Formats: sequence, C-alpha cells, structure tokens
Amino acid sequence: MQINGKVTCELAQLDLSSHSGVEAFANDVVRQKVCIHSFYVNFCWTHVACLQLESAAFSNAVFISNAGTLHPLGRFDCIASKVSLAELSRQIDINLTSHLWLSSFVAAAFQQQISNEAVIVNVSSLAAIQALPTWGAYCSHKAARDMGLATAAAEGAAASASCSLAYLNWAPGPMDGNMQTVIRTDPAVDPSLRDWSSKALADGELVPMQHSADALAVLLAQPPQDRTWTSGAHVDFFDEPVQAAWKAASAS
Amino acid sequence: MAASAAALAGSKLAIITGASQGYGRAIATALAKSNTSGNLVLLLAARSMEGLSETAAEVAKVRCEVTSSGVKLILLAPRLM
Repeated sequence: MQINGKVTCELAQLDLSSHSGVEAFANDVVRQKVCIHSFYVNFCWTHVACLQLESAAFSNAVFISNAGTLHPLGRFDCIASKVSLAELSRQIDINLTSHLWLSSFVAAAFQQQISNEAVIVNVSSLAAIQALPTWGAYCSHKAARDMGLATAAAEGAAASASCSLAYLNWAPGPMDGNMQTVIRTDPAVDPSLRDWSSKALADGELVPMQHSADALAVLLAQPPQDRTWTSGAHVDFFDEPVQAAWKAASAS
Repeated sequence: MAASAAALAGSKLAIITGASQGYGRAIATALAKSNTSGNLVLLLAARSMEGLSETAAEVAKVRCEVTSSGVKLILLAPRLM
C-alpha cells in the first residue's frame, strides 16, 4: 500500500562528542534504517501463498551533517591558553571527526542500499573559505569538512555502487539564529564581526533560517541531470544559481 | 505495523544531525514541505530528545500526516565512555 506524501519522524539521541555514541548511532540506527530487508507474503492468482524476500531499500536518501559548535572563539594565539588540549579535541570531535566518520559510514551504506540517488550534505559556512578573525578553530574545522567531501566527490562512486551519490558543501548564509546572537554578544568575537552582525540584524539582512532551509530543499529536489550545483563544490545560499532556483520554486 | 517491502519501494530517507533546534529543525520542516509524493522518513538526531520531539511537532504542523503515533523514539543504550 502506497500512501502519497506521508512523512514519518524517527528520533535518535546522538552526542557527536562521544566516539562510542557516534558508533552506536551509525551501527544501531543508521545501518538498521538504511539496510531494511523485509519478508512478506505474496498471494498470486492461484491463491498459493509464496514467501518472498525482497530488498526494501529506499530509492532516494540524503544525509545532512548539520550539528556543530562555534567554540572556542578568540584570537588564534589565545586558543591554547583559553582551552585545554582535551577540550579543543572535544570540539574537533563534534565539528570534524564525527562528521568525517559518519559521512564516510553513510556514504558506504547509501552506495550499498539506495536504489536511485543519494546526497551527502555538509552544512558548511563562509568560514570554510574565508579567514574570519577570532574564528580560527571554527574556520579550520569547516575548511576541513569541505575538503573531505570535495575529495570524496573527486574519487567518484564505488565500483559496486547501487545509486548515484553526490556531495554538497552547503553554506546556508548568515542566518538569524543563535549563532549570530553569540557573535553579537560574546566578547571573544572580533569587534568588526560583532558590529557587522549587529548592523545586519538592524538592517534586516540576516537570512531567515527557513528561507535557507527551503533553498537547500530545492537543490536536493533537483534531479542529477538538472542540478545547478556540482558534486563536491562549495555552494552558498547567495550564489546566483541557488537564488534563481529557490525563487523559481517559491513562485511555482 | 512494519512497512512492507512494496510500501517502502520508492520511499525517501533523510538523516539530519543537530535536528533538535535551529537550522536542523528548519531543514526537517523544509524537506517535509517539499515532499509532494511518496513516503519520506525523517531520521532526526541530536543530543536533546526534548528538542527532537519539538522538531517532530513542527514537522507535524506543516504535514498533517505526521501524528504522534507516527513518531518513533529510538533510544540508544547508555554510552560506555
């Protein structure tokens, strides 16, 4: 029975700073969800019950690696005095290690089980391609995330891949959310960035979160042959092809 | 009731980390809104189960097909570290 347009939410607890937690999420939740196989009974016209085994893999899938932390903030030459090596390592676990490991895990699972198209999305940032004062740790994490998926795209699909798999480094724009609040209020942030964020807020120039998310949904809905983005590329909300595709979808 | 193989064929899966608030929540609702046909399974992950439940409630606002009975909670075993 096919129910058109049905959406189901399943919730899973995940702490990206915990190695065992990330591994448990991958093995106990993602693997089980992606690699579904079901037995079912099929009654043919002769009314003879036939037990069949059929792969029930999803036809399309997307993994969106969004979680992260802006901390530690401050001048690069103050990071070592501000946080311990263990604390910095924990932030790197959240922003980078878990992202790389989970993306790799999911890429393999998708290529084995998804029947049509799959996309791995790294929620990136302008910080991945531009040095922002006092954001040294965050910039380096985001740059590394971008390069990870760019490399995966350059490698191409696995020989045994069951689907087309693309990688997207998505910079959502400066959004009106908690991150911008931190930028405006944390004294460790460079004054020029604090002033910029305050002015952008006052002038209504911050991107509404839902607009950015809707634009990402538009990109993900594009069939491979019509995509306005290239696998492995850094794509920004303000890029002209993104704006055009989003506005066209909004108007329809 | 477990979905049959036939029902799952053609279905879509979206896994989102950091889905308990902010941009992760916005992405979940955006994908739900854009799902005009077929089945979409949103696997929402984050530290806060309370926040994830709120995200599921937001998704339900844009897609009336999502009901409380359609929300399945997956609780992992306690971490060892």
